[in-house]
Amino acid sequence: MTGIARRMGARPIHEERDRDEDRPGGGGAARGTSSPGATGRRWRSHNLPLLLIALPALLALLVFYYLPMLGIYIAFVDYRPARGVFGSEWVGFENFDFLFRSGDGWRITFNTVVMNSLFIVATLVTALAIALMLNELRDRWKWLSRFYQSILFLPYFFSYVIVSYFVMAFLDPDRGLVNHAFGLGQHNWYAEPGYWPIILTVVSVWKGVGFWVIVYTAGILAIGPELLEAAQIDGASKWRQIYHVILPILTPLIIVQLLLSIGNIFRADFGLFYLVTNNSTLLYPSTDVIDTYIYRSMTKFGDIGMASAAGAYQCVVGFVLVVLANWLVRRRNPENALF
Amino acid sequence: MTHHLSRRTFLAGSAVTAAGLAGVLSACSTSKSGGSNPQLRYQFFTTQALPDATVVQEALNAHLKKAGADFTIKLEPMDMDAFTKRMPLDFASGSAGDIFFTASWLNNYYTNASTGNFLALDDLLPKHAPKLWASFPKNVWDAARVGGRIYGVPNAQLWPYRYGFLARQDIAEKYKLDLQTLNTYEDLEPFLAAVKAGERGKTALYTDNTGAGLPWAAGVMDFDLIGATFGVAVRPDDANLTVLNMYDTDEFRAACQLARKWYKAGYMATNAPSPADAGAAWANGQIMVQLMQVRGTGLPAFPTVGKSLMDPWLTTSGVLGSITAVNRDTQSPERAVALLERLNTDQDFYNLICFGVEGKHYAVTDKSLRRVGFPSGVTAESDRYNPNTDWQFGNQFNAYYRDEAAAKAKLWDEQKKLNESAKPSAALGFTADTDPVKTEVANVSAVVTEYQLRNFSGLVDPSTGVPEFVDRLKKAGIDKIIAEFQKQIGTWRESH
Amino acid sequence: MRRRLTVTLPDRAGRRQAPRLSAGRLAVHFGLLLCALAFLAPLMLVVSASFSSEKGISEHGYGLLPREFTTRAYEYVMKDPSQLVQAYGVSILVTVVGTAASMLIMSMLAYALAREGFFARRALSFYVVFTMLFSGGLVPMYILMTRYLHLRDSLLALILPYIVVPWSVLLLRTYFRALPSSVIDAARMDGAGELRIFAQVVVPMSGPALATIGMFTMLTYWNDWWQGLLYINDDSLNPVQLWLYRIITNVEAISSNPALAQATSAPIQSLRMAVAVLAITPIIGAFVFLQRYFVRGITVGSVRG
Repeated sequence: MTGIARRMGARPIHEERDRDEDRPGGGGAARGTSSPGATGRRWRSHNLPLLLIALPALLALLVFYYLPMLGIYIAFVDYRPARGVFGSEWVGFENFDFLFRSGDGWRITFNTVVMNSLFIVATLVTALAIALMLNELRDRWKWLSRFYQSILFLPYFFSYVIVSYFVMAFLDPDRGLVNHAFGLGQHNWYAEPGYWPIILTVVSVWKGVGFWVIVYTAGILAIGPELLEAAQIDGASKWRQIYHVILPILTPLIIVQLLLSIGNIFRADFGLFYLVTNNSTLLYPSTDVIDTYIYRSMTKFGDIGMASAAGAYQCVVGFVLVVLANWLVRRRNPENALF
Repeated sequence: MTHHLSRRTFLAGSAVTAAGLAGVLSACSTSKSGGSNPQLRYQFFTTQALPDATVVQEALNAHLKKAGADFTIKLEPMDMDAFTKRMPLDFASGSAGDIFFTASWLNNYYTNASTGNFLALDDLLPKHAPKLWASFPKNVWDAARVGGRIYGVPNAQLWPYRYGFLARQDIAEKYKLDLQTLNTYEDLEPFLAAVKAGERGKTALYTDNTGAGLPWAAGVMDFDLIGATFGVAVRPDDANLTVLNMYDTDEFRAACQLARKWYKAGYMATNAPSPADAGAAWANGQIMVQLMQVRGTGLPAFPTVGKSLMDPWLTTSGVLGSITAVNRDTQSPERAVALLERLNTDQDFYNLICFGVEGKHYAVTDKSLRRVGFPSGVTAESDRYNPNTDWQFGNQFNAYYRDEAAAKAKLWDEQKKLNESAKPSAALGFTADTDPVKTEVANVSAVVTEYQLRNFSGLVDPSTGVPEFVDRLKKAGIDKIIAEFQKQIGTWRESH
Repeated sequence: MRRRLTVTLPDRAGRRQAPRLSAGRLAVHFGLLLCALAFLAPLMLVVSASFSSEKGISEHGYGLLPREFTTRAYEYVMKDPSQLVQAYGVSILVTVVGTAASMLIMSMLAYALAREGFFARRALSFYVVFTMLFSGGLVPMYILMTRYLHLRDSLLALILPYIVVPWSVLLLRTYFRALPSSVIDAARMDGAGELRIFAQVVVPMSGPALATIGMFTMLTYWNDWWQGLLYINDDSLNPVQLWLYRIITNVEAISSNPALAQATSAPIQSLRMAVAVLAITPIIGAFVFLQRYFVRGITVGSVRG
């Protein structure tokens, strides 16, 4: 397959690296294998313009992301608005206590990670499968494949409030579709935690898959039909085409999706867990997650310091996991790593 | 205006920046000058867009000018949702208004007072709001004290809780509900059974997924909650002021048994809907009976009958149901208090902010009864100024009546009498300081939310459910909270 | 440049023939059609509920066909149509300006991050990723926006917080990296500067990627009510989502709180759905319109060179 790719000129940039390194004055310059003069030239013609191009967005990130980050300090003080963030008394890790001293700490951590993992894997697999299916249809009845794509994206537009009513239309024990249509009688879905990992996974995939289908379809489109046709001429079967041409091209996207999801594995989608379950406390054994727990402990006696501590905790864990996962990816293929 | 505002917020909020800088700048922010005729910002919540708020504001300012006041007012209504989310941020960034609505249940009075967001009014009230100061007995002012100081003015209204039930009048008549013989929730049972059997496809008893409408409420059982959301209470008639865990009492277990019985009998929906949906079903006549406070105010969509099933107690949390407080950073504390005086004692001023401009936003329908309605061609929905929360702005007993029955019964006089005759709880005036036990409070709150509802809504068998609940509360540290509050209440009683 | 491209890409004409309609393809269609139904049902439910009477919903629950057809919910929302029109106007303005500005600066950054040999590539990628993992929370952001940037009651408050979405930058970077490097090399050899390569080579070749991320950016702006809730007091600057959100939360507050009861009650259950319909219709329209660019994509871009 690589042969075809090279012939078609559709080689992704990262494959270029092997060649650059053999070539003086090429990409190797940045790795310091070339003379100082060349480096200076490269700096002026390449690095400096790129830095300038990147600058507006870098500044925006500085202002709207990095500046407010100083506020993480709130997690470590007994916050009194009247005294200000930096005037409040330093209390160390006291604000974090409530997360770890409760007997629920293990349960909410476990639920958050397990449910998010389920969502990540299920969404990835479904989105890939659908994107590949759509790709099969792209040269015939284009409008139909477009129709599918729009429909799949629909749930993305709905808020979880609306989704929760939709789910309830199915699962309501008194008048829901499932109990009525399948004659399950008075099966009270909102009281049986065992089903909810599956129900929530289905809802989460249903709501989010359209987004990723579009992302992956755009990735496949970047291949261009020519490459695939060439593969067909080479006599490759459908599965071989998918395995050897499409998936390798999608790998960077898949890795971005996975790495970013891992960074957020400690953050649960509050709307999903709170609204779609109708906040039924009987479901907590499987649906109580970090975010719902924080909400529950903070609603009435909201303490900004403690809420910040919970947020900081999620940040740090997510950060460690991403650095770790990124390091693993980097060891295999540096070009696929996030940083 | 914008310029003035931003400069002010900058000064007022400077304390939030680095400590050293704050020291310098906050010196300016606390200089209580405020100019000759300052504009006082009043932040309150609304559940209805108020496009004519500026019109009413002008009328209010014209009234102030005529009365010779040396300040003006700026109305800053916020939707309840925005109010909830924005007030903590406004305090944090120093951009909160001069006076604002606060309560035990919204824009938390206790938290704000104890973290220093409110101005202590002890010295200002007698001097700048003498009529208001004289209008409440000492124990009402005591209820507003946090750490010994008064941080807000309770808005006079019916203070004791009045839990009981409401039933649709037509249903009550059809099934011959006898209010006279009805004294406990258990007594409702035959009526519920008859309704359930006779009205197929309807729900006999209102419930929602927050637990409202169930035969358990701390007030019904005569508990005075001193830790409002986590089940720590005293009995209002207990001279010893023993702090207890109310989920570990016979009253709670009995109420859970009753709920379980009713749930199994099918009086409530199997899966309780959200409050908004349950409210809609009630308004649409799909629900027959609702267990709730019976206060005689509000405008029911259909005729109801009801009865309160509890003794009226005057408790701290009851009095703290609606308060107006002053920003600690206000530039004109004296005038802010003078504005409070006006809201509570100047009937015309108060009714202007409650109902808007006469002829435009409301019309007098019966002068002798002080009853008002909407001007012709205007409805509750199309009215451009209809906050419908007179109890939020000041002394509700100064308000016009909207409801005919209330006007005829002279409801305000009735409620005033009830306030006066209500027995003060032994703990009236005590507010617990949660700070020393805030980790436990967070954990216990989480346990309460998880276990309370399932037990008192009958979803689980209380004979196993309640012990499990109590056990989890102990693990989350409720005993430490009880011990701490017991200590505090002892200290409080000595100084009292 | 043009020449090189046409050389690298083979002539498509005459090479392609529509594939047969095999059993496999039918199965794919069948699967997708089932999926589509599962995804279409909620829309039906929402639309039908928005035309149902409150009593009908309370009695029978939600269904695929309206329960006791009525337009009361829409009348409630449109009792003052000028406000709705104004709110749509604000949303459209914010969405158009926001998306254009955001796409420009995000894709510039993404391009730099995708370029082989750019010295700060790794460090800056980390700089971007880090913003997704750490956040200082709401309080500092609010202080920054209101006290230092003075953005209260400014449309910029609705645009700037989303001007760079790190997630989108990373996706764009990944797409850009997949572009054939030979084309960029060729342009460099022709003496084109980085900005020109970006504008004249990379952007035209990245149709689907830009359309995709542009769509998400549009959605972010269109769907947002949160920034408005925080920073907008002036009713004339309400974006439509916030305006609709406020109607719903207000009606819910009234419906769930006996102390706020009105003699006439708003149709909360159908209103919620009508509001969803009003909020998403324009954006679905925009989506369907934009979608052809997703599919046309690179083939067009590369042939045009």
